[in-house]
Amino acid sequence: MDFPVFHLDLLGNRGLIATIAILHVLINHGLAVGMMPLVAAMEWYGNKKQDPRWDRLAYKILFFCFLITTTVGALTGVGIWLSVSLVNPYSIGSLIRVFFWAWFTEWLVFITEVCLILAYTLTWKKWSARGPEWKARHIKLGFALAFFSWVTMAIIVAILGFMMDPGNWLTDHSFWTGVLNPLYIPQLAFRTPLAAAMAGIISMFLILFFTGKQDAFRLEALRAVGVWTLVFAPFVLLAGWWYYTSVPEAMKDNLAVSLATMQFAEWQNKFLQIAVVTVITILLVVQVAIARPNLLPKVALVVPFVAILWMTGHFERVREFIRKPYVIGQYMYANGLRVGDYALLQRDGVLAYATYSNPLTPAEQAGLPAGLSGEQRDALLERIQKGKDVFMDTCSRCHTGHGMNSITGHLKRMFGDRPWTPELTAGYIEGMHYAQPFMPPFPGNAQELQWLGAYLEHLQNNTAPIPGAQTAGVIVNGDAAPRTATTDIRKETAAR
Amino acid sequence: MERISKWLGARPHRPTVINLIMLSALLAIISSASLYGVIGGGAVLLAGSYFLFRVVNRTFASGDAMNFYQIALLWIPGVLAICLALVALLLVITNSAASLAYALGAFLFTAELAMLTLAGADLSPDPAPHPVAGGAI
Amino acid sequence: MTEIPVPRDIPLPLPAPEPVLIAVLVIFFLMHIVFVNFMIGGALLTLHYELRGLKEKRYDKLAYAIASTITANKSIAVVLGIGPLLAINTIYTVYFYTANALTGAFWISIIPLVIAAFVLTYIHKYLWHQMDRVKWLHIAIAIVVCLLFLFIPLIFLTNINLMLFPEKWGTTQGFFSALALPNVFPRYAHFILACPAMTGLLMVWLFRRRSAQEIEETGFARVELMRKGYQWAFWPTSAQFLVGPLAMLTLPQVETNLHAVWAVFGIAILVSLGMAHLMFAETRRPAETIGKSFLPICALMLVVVSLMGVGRHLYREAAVTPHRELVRAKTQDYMRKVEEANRAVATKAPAEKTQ
Repeated sequence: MDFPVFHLDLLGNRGLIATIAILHVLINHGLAVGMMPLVAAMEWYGNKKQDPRWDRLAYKILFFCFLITTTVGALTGVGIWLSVSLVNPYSIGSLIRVFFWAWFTEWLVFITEVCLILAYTLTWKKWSARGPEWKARHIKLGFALAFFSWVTMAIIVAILGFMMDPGNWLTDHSFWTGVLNPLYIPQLAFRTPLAAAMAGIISMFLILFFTGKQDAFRLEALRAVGVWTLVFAPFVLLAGWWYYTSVPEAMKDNLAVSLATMQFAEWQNKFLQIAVVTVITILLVVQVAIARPNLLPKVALVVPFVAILWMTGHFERVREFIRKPYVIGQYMYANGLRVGDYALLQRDGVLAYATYSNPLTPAEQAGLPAGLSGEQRDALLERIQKGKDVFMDTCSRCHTGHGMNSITGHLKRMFGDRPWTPELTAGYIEGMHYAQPFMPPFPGNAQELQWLGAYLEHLQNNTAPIPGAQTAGVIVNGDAAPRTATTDIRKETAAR
Repeated sequence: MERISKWLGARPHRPTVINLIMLSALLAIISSASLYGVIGGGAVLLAGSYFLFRVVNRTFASGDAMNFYQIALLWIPGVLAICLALVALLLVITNSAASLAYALGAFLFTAELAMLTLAGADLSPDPAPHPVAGGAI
Repeated sequence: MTEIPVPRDIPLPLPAPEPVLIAVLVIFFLMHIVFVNFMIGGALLTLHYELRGLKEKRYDKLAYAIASTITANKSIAVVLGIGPLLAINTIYTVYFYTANALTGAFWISIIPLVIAAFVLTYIHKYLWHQMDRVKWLHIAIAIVVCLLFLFIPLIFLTNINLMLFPEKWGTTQGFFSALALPNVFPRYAHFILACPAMTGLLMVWLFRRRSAQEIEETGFARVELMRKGYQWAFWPTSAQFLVGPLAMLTLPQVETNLHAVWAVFGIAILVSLGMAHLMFAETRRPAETIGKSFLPICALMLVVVSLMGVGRHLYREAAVTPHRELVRAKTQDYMRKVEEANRAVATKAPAEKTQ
């Protein structure tokens, strides 16, 4: 990492991204991609039956979605981006350079989507009052909105798919080979019915709020939305299974080690189980909604929603598992270092090419062994400082010191309370990627491994949170040239 | 006591449902996979055939009076119940009695057997107490 | 003396010719910022008129009319901001990400802060009449919205400012120390003053085209409303003649010459003088002729805004270019070493096999 290192030692950097991303996926799938066609269908149905109750309900649901998607939905979308660029600027920076036009197109579609949802919501009453011709036009607007919501998802899934399996992109670096990777269609096929079923569950929940207990329309609406949900639920399972079977093919390069295969099989089985449980809870709710709509309590709808949340979370984690140890398959490891840089870094060391150093705070300097002379102390602190820099540059994108997925937690699990001497930890880390195939190999040289060991030993006695550049700042390493020298260098490069 | 018996007597399907719940509870406690399979499967077969008989009857009796959506509403509760009951049966038979899957399966089976009976009862010639699917439309 | 960091860039080519990316950045950023101006100015004016509405009911109606515009503007503002973000990511990768990381906690807090501001804006707008009985609470919400809207741009501005000065990266410790860099507050004042000015023009546009019946409902005459709009446009714009040059003069010195930047800003000042003159003339016009100069004013505003955008970009380039040369040289040097190391490994591996 050649940027100042942003670091959250409690929540973890991936925790930040995950929190924002899961929230975004739920809102995007449940309230936009799945809900817009449902709302448009309700409006269409109400118009066809000349039943204003459907129209009113559709508008209420739309308005709710409008409020949430244009605030939390839109901003968490930007938030994924901001958080990833804080946590792993190298990966997002590389992805943007490859996928600039995909993202640009995505952006244009997103602008269209926002304009359409504004138009659809804000013209509803006005256009409906203008007569049947305008009403028909408004319904078309609704379906157009639904279409564009789906297209934004379809584009972004291509980029996600690329991160898992860059396919032939590595050899010919073109955009389309990235997009047309083998996991694209199964993933899209899974997300589409999932979004529709989620929307069904959420709108049943909303119907219970927006209609009275004695209202006969409540029962009718619950039944109809129940049928909608039922239509999509089996496809969640089918496409989930399709995705599940196409993954090993896509990641066969990563699955060379049998241990990885075993762990992966465990993940996948769990995913399938959760998917079955989720679909069963959805079906149960649908069953009650259709057979006895008057007995459906609000809390019952929370169950499938939580199940979907669980499944989505697990799905995203499987997705992450698949691409490990890479962040961009075969090109960049999860620590933000390019595969191609390893030869250089393992020879000269990571620190030799690091522009910034991450100063130890006074709290982090506590807990040194007693009885050291001033000189020994300084020498040890220097080693710890270098070890910290190695940690920040090579481990901290996924691991914290003492928080979520903490390095100390893993060491404690493996080595318990005996002293984590550099011999012990460095020896392990050196061959770690054989034992844990989802870990990238250590990128630094032997000396740095020892420094890292010294730092880890220090962490056993010091539980102060590790600050990121956002609070502690950075120290610029000595090799940087002052700006006044620029002109000379420019001349020099020109002369070359 | 009197109120309970009154409630049970009010609708003829209520005692049936209670009986079935007790039956599946008993099956769950005995925890013999083969027994559960045979008896439980038999119960599903029985209740399922009754529902199917009724729903086919109703579908053909109504002729063109009902549209596709209304027919779907007639079929869905029972068909879903049969499918889910079979899934539950599978869960119970393939898992050992102490496992969570077994407990969930037994619970699901009980619920679905009850739902299946209700679905059949809703369609019986004796008009059902609840607005039958499609009736409200 | 602090060291100036020279990090290396991402070794992938730019996805498009640089002028295209610059065009995306400058043009869409200006569009974005205009809607942000409408949004923030709208919130400020709404609060102002709602407070006046406590004494005179018709001001409350006016406040409501302005509040109704905020929510649509804010959605467009957000969505238009994404393209420039995409472009700045590619052109100024090293600078932008570094500034983000150094102010990370505040940078990421943009997300919850904006969500909070937007949700409160919706509450403020859609529960306006329901909250008549708890007017104090309603006004409190408007105050919170204004404070949030005033604070969020400061985070952006601090970032975009910090990004220009690599020599400060080594001494920056978090948001507040980045805030202390020179020029942040003059630029901020320049931006904030633009908000009511732009919203004033939006008011004129809004009330110019409203039907007579809608105007009557507000309790004001059309000419009064339009005049108010022009006043909002005029007075902050006149203040800009002080604040603008101040922001310009406090720009940190850079090594390359800035003649082009001064020229662009100079022209912008001249054009603004003409525009301010027209605005002032409009505030004095009677009902029959008011609005006559609206289109010329908008056209001049467009010119001024474009010149500001261009000047801003030229200064950024002037500030960053020398350093970017260093980064480029360093990246090339690094990649050469990478290739060399890979070659060494490749030749060693077969040699080992034969041994």
